[in-house]
Amino acid sequence: MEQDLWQIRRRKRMTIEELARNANIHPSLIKAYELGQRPIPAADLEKLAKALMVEPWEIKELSDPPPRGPSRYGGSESSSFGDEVPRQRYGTRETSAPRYDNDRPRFETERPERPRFDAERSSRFDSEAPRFDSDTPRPRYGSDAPRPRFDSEGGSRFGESSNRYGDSNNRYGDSGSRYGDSGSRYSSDSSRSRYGSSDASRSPRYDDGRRGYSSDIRDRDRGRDRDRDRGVRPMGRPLRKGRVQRRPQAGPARPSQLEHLKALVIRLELNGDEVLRMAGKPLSMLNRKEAASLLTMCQDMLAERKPPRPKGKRQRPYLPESVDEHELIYLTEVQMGKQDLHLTLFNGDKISGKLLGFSPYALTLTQPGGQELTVQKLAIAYYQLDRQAAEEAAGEPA
Amino acid sequence: MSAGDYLRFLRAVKGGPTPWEVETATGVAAGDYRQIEQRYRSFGDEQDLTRLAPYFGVAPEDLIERHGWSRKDFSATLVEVQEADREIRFQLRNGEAIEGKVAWSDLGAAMLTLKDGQQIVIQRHFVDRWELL
Repeated sequence: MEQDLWQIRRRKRMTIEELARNANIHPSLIKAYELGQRPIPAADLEKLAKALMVEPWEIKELSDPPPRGPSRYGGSESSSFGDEVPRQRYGTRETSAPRYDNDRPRFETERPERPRFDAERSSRFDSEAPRFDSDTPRPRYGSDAPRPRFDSEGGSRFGESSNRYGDSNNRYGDSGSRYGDSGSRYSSDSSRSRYGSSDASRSPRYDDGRRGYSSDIRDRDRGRDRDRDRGVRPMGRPLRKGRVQRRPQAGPARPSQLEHLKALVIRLELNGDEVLRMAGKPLSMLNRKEAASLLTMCQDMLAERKPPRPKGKRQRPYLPESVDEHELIYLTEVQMGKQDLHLTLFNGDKISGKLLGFSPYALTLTQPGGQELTVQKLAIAYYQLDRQAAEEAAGEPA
Repeated sequence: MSAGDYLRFLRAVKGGPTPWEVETATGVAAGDYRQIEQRYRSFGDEQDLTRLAPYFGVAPEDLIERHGWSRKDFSATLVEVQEADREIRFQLRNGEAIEGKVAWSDLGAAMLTLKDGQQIVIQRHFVDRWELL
């Protein structure tokens, strides 16, 4: 069954720009095709079909314009339906309202067996005007036919319960009804209770008929369509008040998370059963959120097991050579023991004396004559205690 | 001995100029000399070492061949020997060789316990080669 170009494009979730790029047709031309301003020539039809991955015969040569789409198409004052019926600008109330024949709605009497809306469309184009099949002569919104006045709730049912149009009991098909009459049932209380009572809370609001959609609803729908055509992901939009935004389902745990978890399990010395009990499932079946939660749990456990760090002590990562306290401890013992220290310098000179003080870069000795001498460590090849003193020191109980 | 340790030794031989003085005299970028000397991994490039070599009076090749060496290799060897309670031989810059077991090692020095029980603290920058026994 052939469909309008814009219908297929939207079904394929493509923007006009994407379609134009894939089909190598200028976007403005595609807009003209979608608006029905120009029939699609055979050459372009094939290009578009190929880009949309459909058969050429599935695309209508002359599309019906989309039910709305005012700002994005910029509107068109020309009409493809006949000069006597001026095309309304999209987005104005006239295009949002159902289009009917001058005299009577044909869909009711001629094709009652075919619902005008399928469920998908009625849900997608909620609160839109009803659309008609291509074989059904397009009802005209004639100038002599008074326009229906939508009250705040009655008009909402157009987009939601299309089957009511085919309902033998509904009053749309009543030949006695005239939509724009002063006594129209659309605006009466009875119609409100009939068409809008159960889903009134979900129904879009209509104004008093002079403006059609209330401006905020119209702006919202325009924005939604504009986003769809631009390829904007719905998740990218800010959360609207009163709406529950669907959150994406967490993906499987990242390999790095699993690696980290395994390392923590080893450090915590947990066995397989304990891990399974903590995780509730094998590690390989965790999703990202669960893995992150388990990581936090393991890190907390690890933190609890660590001894508290001494206050005031400089904290540095432990690397075998990043600590300098071994030499410090040794020199402290030598200093406290007042033992003779024998230094050998890089040039072979030897210096002996009692260690008076030291820093990370220098040693200060008191030489036998009482003279103090500071030697840079850079100049030192090695140093050692006096052998006898060292033996005595080694023989002393700790 | 890594290039860093070797430069540290050369700096001592030259009278202990500060890293800033070395950088000023050689045109090495500020801070680079200190990192060449102190970083555990190789730092700098051949251009820097070529600039430093004439300042210290050595051949550029003497520095460049040590550029790939690393203080981390020496540290790893010391830790391995200490944990395995094995002996190691240090070949010092003055040609002297000292053998013993590693009692401890840290940022600037390592203590060897010699066979006769005597302990000696050797500055890392004075170790030219090492060999596991």
